[in-house]
Amino acid sequence: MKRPSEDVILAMEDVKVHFDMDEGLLKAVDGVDFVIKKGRTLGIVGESGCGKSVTTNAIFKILPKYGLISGNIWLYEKDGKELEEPINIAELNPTGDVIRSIRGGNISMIFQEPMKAFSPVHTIGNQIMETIMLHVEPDKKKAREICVEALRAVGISNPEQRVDEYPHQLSGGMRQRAMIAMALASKPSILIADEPTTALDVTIQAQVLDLINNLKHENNTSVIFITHDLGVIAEMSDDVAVMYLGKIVESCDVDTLFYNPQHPYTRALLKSIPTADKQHKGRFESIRGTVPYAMNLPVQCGFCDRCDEAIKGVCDKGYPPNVEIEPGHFVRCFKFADKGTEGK
Amino acid sequence: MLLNYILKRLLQLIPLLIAVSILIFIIIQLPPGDYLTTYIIQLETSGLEVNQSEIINLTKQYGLDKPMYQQYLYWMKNIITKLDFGRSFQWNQTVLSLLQQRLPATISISLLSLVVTWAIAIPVGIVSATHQYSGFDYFFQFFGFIGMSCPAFLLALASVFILFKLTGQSLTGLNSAAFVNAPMSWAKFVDMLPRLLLVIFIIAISQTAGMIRSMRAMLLDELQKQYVITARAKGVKEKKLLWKYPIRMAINPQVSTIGWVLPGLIGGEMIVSTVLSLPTMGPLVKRALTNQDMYLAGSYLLIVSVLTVIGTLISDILLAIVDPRIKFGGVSE
Amino acid sequence: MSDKKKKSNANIDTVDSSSSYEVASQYKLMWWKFKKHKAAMIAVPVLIIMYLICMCCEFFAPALPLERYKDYKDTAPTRIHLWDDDGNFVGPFVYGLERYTDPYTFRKSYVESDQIIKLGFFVRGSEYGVFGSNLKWDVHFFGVKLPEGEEPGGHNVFFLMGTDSLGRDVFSRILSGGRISLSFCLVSVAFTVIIGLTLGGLSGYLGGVVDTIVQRAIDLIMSIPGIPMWMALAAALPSTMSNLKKYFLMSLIMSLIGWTGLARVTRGKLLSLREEDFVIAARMCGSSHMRVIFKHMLPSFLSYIIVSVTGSIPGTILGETTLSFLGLGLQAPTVSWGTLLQDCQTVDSMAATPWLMFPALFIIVSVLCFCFMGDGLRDAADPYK
Repeated sequence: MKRPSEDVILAMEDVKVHFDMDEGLLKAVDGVDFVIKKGRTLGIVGESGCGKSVTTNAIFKILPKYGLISGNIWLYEKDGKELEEPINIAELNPTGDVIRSIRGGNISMIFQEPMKAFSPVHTIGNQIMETIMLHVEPDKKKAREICVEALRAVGISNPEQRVDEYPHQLSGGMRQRAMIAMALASKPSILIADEPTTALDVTIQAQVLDLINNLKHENNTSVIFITHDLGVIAEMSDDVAVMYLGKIVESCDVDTLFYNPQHPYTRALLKSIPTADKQHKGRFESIRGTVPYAMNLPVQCGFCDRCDEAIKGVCDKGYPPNVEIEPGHFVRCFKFADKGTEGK
Repeated sequence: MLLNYILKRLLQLIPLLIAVSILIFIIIQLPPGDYLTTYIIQLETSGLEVNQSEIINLTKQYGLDKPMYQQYLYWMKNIITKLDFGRSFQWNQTVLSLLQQRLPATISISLLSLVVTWAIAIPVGIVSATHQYSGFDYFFQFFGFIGMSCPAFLLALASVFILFKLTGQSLTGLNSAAFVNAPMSWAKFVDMLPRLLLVIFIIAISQTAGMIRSMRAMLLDELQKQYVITARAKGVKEKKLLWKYPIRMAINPQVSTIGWVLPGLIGGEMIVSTVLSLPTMGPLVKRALTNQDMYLAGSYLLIVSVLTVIGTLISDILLAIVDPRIKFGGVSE
Repeated sequence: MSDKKKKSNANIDTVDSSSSYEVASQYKLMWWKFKKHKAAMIAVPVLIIMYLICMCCEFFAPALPLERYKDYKDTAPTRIHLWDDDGNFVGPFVYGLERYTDPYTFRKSYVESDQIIKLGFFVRGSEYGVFGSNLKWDVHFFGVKLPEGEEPGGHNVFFLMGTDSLGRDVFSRILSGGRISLSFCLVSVAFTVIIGLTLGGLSGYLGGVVDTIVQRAIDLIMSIPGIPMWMALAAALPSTMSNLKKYFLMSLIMSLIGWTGLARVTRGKLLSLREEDFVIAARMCGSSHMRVIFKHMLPSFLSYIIVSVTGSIPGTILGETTLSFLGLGLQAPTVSWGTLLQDCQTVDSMAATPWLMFPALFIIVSVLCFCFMGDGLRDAADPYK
């Protein structure tokens, strides 16, 4: 697979993740394409259950045993060097050496709930040093120094002492900072942040977001930012992908998303953001219905049951094509089926 | 801090132990009459002359004519000051000498069973959980159910019966007839070993079954936890990850099970040794209970209760050491 | 517009039916979860059948539990045949038994004679009172077809699981013992529920001094090993006591030691529920204490109580049979599975009359079934997991 351009580090090609369950085949991720570019942030937004987290877990290959992954996940750069032969993560052995050197080394992850993401019976330092010793510096003493520095870099005061404390001794914001320190200690080229602020207080949320942004600029890291909060997307992302029912329904840069959204789902999402606008009176707009359960679904646009603009006889008769309506602006909707060139 | 915690816990034990001893004393006093009345009836039915002066002597000696609370205080005072647990009327010996003869075997068998329980249950539980729904897992789940639903006495009977059918030897008692009264020697030990192993295995089996289930369930639960995924996302090797995080977390609470495993094993020992007529406390205490040999029965109950309380204390201390979340004095969250 | 509305309604309907998992009631979810536990789904009917048979044991047993066949002591289980020696189909029958003395060992045993004794369903046998009442009946579910005019107890005999040393039919005794053993655990569990719920509930709801006292009492009971304590309490029952009284006192003894677990669960659940938002909300809406407890709190921990109670049944059966076996609980002539096993206390007796171990099979099966059922209920109790 040829590298699309110099600054692309990772490319997803028609990635599908299906769970083979007793009740049937659950299509959690159903054909996702995107690229990660150096130093840029891709925001993935969508309601809960749309497959955001499964997508990123697929990059890590940390899916449950019954999760089947297909398509290609190409990694072009490893340890800061361009690979002659790109690695297809989708085909790697999930417990093999290659994927383990990528996990935590080249791609790191910040999880949603810092309390649950740390082992309660090991010190913060122990857990951060584990990453460092695996990917950066095998010597324990030096690893500890790096660890202290990493904690200092995320703004934890008195890191020499904190390093020996247990997760329950830190506050929620502190724990998330420690989590970020752990993810960035090995200087990864891609950082995946899976709703990193959802479990935090609003005031601390802003601090943590700033921190991630600053560290990203310092290290020129690429970030995949997963959230259901469009406000956070506006603050964090350069590019945005809107996911619905395992598919990306619209992808573009962040300004286009807010000023020129095209997909009915995106527009509905944007309408449901509360604003301080005085003229906006009455009830919040909300999207009717709920996300269907991604199992045994009929062949139709996944959103058509909830869509106010659905065209009878079209939307419920097949899958909409992915159309590039403007350069870099893809929409997956029948309304645009003939208004641009069909992209991947 | 740890020392403080231990001292505090030890002080808390004192009122508990006093209450336990009172309760036990009440229980052994529950049957109407006392040993002397049973003794007199026995003598009369066998047609022997009842020696009145001897009766009066015995009554006086043990304060049997005094009110109950005085009898209790007298008993406790002797235990604490002189390690004198009273006298077994039935055996006409001091309880202490009976305990010295038989208690060591009881305690060693119980503790060995505890070791065997853990040695089997924890590895099997780990493999069962990490290889869920494998043949191994199904086999031990089946074994677990059988182990839990087969009473210990039945297991003892069945294994003795099967071994008798297979080898033609009756494996009751701790030694074959030739060695029962022989002094301890290598040959006697070799003779004893298979019987001892059988007894330990039988006692351990029901507790093992329960513990495999709890260890398996606990580990399955831990394997789902987020921190396991975090560790995996760090690139930690699967095996190392397993041992460092979920297994450690699942074993921690097992440490605190001494408190309920030990009493179970003591009870199991009592039943199995009664069925197999081993030279331990079990058969002795059963007879003492039916014959109202109260000091013997009471002393045994007291000692095993103290052992249980100490076992619980030890497991609490161990848990406080291995789990940093437990602040000495209480759980922090 | 109206068209559109219709369409959206229709869609909502389809959403509802496709995601019924999300809208099913709690009990429905529990039932679905329980149904998935195959062992439990087998265990429950087996238990029901066992209880039914043991409840009507006089009818289902071919003989009465205390009836002695003086000429047939220690007989092995009789073999049931369908074809006679010449290969003709006769239907279920047994051969008559003849006593045979080994000329060398002088050991007595029984051999089959040529006499064919036919078996049948709903046959005439010894007379019994229906459910212990004065209403007499002599029909048994199955047994030998007695020739017209012949009284039961003669030489037309059939012992499904052999006889004991007094010539009593083991199978009939097992059914009769099952009545005691299987009902015993329910009576004991009922006592446990009464004591445990009351004390645990008071302790959790009132808190304060009551809580402290109950907690110390639990500590106290938990620090004495259960089995020796059972034995001590059981030994305290005077031997002159009537069997019925002993039966109830024994079950009370079991629950006096077993209530602590249930009390702990109840207290813990009450304490955590007291702080739950929906309980506080109910109280703020002006619900009375009773309404809060029975309408809001009880349903949310009822399933845990049921699980805890079912989980304690196997231990009670094992405890009763163990104590009875050791001669400390129910005693002969009361028939329970434990007292039946007293007959095979030595290797010699087991080797000579292994069929006396049949009660063990019933103990294991019933305990196993209760274990499976408890397991299924445990899974079902948390249907959202």
